[in-house]
Amino acid sequence: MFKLRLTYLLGCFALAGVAIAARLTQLQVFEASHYRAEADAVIKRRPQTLPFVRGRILDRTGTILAADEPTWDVRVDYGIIAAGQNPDESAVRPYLRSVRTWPRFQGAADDQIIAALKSDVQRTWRELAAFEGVSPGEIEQRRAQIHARVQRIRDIVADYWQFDRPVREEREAHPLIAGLPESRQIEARQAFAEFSWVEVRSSSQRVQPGGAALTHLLGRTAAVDRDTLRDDPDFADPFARYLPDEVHGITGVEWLEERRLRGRRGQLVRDADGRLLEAELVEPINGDDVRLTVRADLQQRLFELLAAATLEHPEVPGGAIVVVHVPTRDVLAMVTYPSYDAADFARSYNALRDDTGTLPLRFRAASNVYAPGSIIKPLVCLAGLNEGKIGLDTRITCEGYLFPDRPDARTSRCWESGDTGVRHRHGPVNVEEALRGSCNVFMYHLGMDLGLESMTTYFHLAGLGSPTGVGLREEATGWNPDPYWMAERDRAVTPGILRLLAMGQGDVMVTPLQAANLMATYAEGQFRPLRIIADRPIGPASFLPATHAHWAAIRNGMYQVVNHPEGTAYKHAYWRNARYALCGKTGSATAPPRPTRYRITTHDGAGAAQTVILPGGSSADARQRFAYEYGRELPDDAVVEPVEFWPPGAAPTDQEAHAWFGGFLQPLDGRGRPDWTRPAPIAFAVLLEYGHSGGGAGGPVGRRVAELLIDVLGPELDPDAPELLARHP
Amino acid sequence: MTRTWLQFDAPSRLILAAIAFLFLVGLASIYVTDTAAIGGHDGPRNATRQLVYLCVGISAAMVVLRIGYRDLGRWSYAILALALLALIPLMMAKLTHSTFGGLIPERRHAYRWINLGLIDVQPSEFMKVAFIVALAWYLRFRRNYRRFGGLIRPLLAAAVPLALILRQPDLGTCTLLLPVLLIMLFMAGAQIRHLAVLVAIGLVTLPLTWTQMRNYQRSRIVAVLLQSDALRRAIVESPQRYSFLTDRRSAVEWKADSGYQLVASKTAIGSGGLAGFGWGRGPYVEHAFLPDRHNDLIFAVIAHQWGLVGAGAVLIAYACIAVGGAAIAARTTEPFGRMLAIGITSLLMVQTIINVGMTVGLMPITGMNLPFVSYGGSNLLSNFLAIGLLVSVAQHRPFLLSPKPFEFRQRQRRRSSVLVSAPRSRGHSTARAASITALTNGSMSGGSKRASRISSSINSLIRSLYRSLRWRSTNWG
Repeated sequence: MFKLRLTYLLGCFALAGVAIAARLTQLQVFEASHYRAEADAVIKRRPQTLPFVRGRILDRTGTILAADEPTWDVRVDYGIIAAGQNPDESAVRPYLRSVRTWPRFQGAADDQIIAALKSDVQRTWRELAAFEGVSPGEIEQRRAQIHARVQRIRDIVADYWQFDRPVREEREAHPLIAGLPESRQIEARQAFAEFSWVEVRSSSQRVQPGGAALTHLLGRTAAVDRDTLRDDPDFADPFARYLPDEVHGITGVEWLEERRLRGRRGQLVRDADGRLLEAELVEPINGDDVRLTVRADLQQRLFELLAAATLEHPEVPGGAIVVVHVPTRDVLAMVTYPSYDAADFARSYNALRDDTGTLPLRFRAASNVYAPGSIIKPLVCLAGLNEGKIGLDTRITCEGYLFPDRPDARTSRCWESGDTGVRHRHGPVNVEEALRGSCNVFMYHLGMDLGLESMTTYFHLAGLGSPTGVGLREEATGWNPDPYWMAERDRAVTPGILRLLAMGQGDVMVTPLQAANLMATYAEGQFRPLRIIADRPIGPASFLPATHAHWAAIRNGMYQVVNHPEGTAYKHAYWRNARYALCGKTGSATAPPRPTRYRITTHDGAGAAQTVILPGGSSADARQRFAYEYGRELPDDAVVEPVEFWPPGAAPTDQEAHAWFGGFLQPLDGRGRPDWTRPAPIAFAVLLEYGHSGGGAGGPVGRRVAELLIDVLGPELDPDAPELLARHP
Repeated sequence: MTRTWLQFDAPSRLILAAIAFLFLVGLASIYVTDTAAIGGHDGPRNATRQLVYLCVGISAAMVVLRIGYRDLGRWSYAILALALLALIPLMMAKLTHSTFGGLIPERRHAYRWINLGLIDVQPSEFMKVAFIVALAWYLRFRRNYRRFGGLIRPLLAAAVPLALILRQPDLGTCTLLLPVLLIMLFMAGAQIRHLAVLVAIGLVTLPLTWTQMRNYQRSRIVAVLLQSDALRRAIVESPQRYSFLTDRRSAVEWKADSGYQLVASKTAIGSGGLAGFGWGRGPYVEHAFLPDRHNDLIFAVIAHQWGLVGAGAVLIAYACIAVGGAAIAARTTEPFGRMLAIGITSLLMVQTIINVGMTVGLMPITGMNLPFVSYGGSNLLSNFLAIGLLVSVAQHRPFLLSPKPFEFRQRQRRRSSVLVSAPRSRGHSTARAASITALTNGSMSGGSKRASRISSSINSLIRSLYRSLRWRSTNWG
């Protein structure tokens, strides 16, 4: 029986052996390829991403306007961040293995090392504060913020999965000190070398050395949002696609040239022992530099000029100056005032947002639309000449009013000098004289004769109501009230509307960019789209249907505006040197005061009224602000009414006006007379918001712009003149 | 006394050759895990130590051989008491959570080792051998375990060391001792239905045991089940239904959490394929992803390096030990020796099956060494002690005239005829000689000098015959 049982026993062992052998065969024969692949994967460490450097933005002379500057972050492992000021043993235990070999802990028992590590953690927070020169409370606040943020992520993930699990952020180190300059890197490494939970890691920061003058144009970068991740055009490329912790351009040129500025990440794979796997190395490709057509020095000087002009007129909240190189339509400067410094944006955002008076966040040069006022008159005259409504010699008599005998004559009057109430009688004027004196009555007749369709066709040919071609996302198209536009809005085309349009009022609206391009069109006699990126092709020219004689009359009128004693800008803007004379057109675009603060009255359940006053540019803006401030939507029955306006102290019914001055620098012949055979090289437009008088406020600025252009671009007004580069390094 | 103490018979030689092979395979694997990995800057530290342990183990086995298992058997209860005594400080350390000044270090929340300066000793390893020796000594002449009541005493005797070892905690040693105990009782002739009742009681109390287990022990058992993708998916979908097993999170995190060792060892084995990466090659040798790869999971390293071929060779070597041990047990007539041989063989086999089973993912991972292969001083020493005892059993075969012990009839109705039974062995010359002796002599005077003399002369005759035969056979070959 013993032997029988022994046989049974051996049989049992054999059975176990067979089971094991079968399992081995399953693993090593049938599933071998699967496990081979698994082993190949496990041998590698998680690939390390090699970041690319975002391309720089340069001006047309090569000056750096925006660039990634290498910075350094001091990061702390999340485990320690979560542990905070009084870490327990579990927080420091993971470091035990790595520090045990340190000379400091040689031969120490685990308990002693852990006690030392705990006090090291407490010391870390103090050292961080001391290193950056902030209070320990500040560091504690940052620590608590990171902790709260990660816990929120964890909550969201737990919510999604319906159970709690660790998230990636909990295994990472988070920056307690960010944006350290290269010069402090070594110092930081030394200061935190003894803390194995602190690492000093490279990072980068977008800097704009040019300061506030270029902020709006260059734009900002910000963390990518969900939409960008979803609509990523590079999604198929694992190295080019956006990662959630990357930045992308959201405004200005940073947005416009995002595809070129952005590079392609690299990747570095190490095996488990830290050896580099050469075959899997992917070199990062840095983003391309983008060269703008803008001259940084010109932009800076013009910005200062505009700032000074704004200060001179307390009622002016700000303005814009756009300078265009006529033959190429390169935007040489695109100034918006007021502006802000990109480096301070995050810190000063609330103040910038709440400044609804001067609106420093508005990109006035591209995104604000204004009635063009009288600067559109040359275009209307050109239309009239070409359509045969008037001839070069046609004279229309201006009596100061269009209908001097009617009781409501004042509604269609010619312009007054200031608020004197004295009507201006131009008498019988031809085209040139009408432009010179900016005669409204002449334009009234012309507008009514031309009709809506032909007038707006010319507006369209001159680019009004369409994007200028710079491509900025901030750019507004303006309004061109052509018949379709009017029909869509059920507007009746009345003679009154035609009269308003003919003098640049009513529904026609332009941006300063469009105004500057309009000036270039006047100067060159053809329309082209504007260009802001230097290596984009020059836009195709499109000719306006007009004869040389017509153009000459227009330009001559504009010449006389500045250079004739009866010209509207003669007093304020007369400027010429031996080679160039300033030609231009003033414009005063009437506009109502702009609301800056709103009173919001809400009624609670008992009927008691509650009133708050919030900054806002429109009632929708004020409602949004309310929802943001109080965390709830404003009820529909709430009363939202504007209480404060710009200009300060203005009543909502007042008639205010924006001041325009647009012009070009016309080459002169030897005798000091304009040489119409040579086109003007530079055109520009100046807008002063609520500047009242195109001549009085805009004119002097126009003259200073002309002086400055000569000063910066040199006597030849060549934007690329090499000797100028030497003069203005 | 038929042989000098260093002469081995065929089963012993088979066993010793298998052990030599296993040790070499193990040493080669320990050596490469020392040197190939990134942490191996100390040189082949573990391999050197393993060689020292080998010397200690061989010396200990020779001492055992020299003394002889029967003389040791007389001291078996004392040895067991000594081993139990060594477990007590560990128990105290566990209860008081103190390391006694570093004497009993805590590792992975367990108190299993006594620090003797140069080496750490794991008393439970020696406990295993002492327990088997004592159990064999207890069972040698008894018959009361043929009744159910008679099983109580050995079970109670086993409960004491088991309880002490469980407290350390060392689930692995317990899962080893219980099957060995059952096998020894079974081989000693205990009624199968009694043993079945015992096993049934164990199965019935399984849910209770489940609730009494520690979390990590439970999660190791669950980890084996969680290898199934379908089960993991089912848990994620309806966690309530499986809440007795585990929660949803461990099902999702299984691969990185409770299943990490298992996944790593399976990947190491599977990626080895048919022929393996070769000695010292392969990701799991060159990198230290595999935890405990030089001791508990060393079989994975072997399968990784030498593939199915190498793993199969190792399994065959263990099969040789099993066959050799069974042959020794079958050939000895001395009850104590027979029980001892069975106990030692099953100890080694169960240890092997559990270790390899857990490495390939058929069983939960417990702290279990692969005999003669894994790194570890105490284990190697205790295994060599066991082998010393086993070979010693093979060496001492004095009771040529004695009846075969534990040869009960299958259905034991008539008590009078119990002890007399015809020897049925006819395989080997020695055994045949023994049976011839027994038949011619017609008595059972096991100690008689005359019988001994006769048997020894017959034995030497047969041996010389056998040698000449073998000589010729080799010539022919």
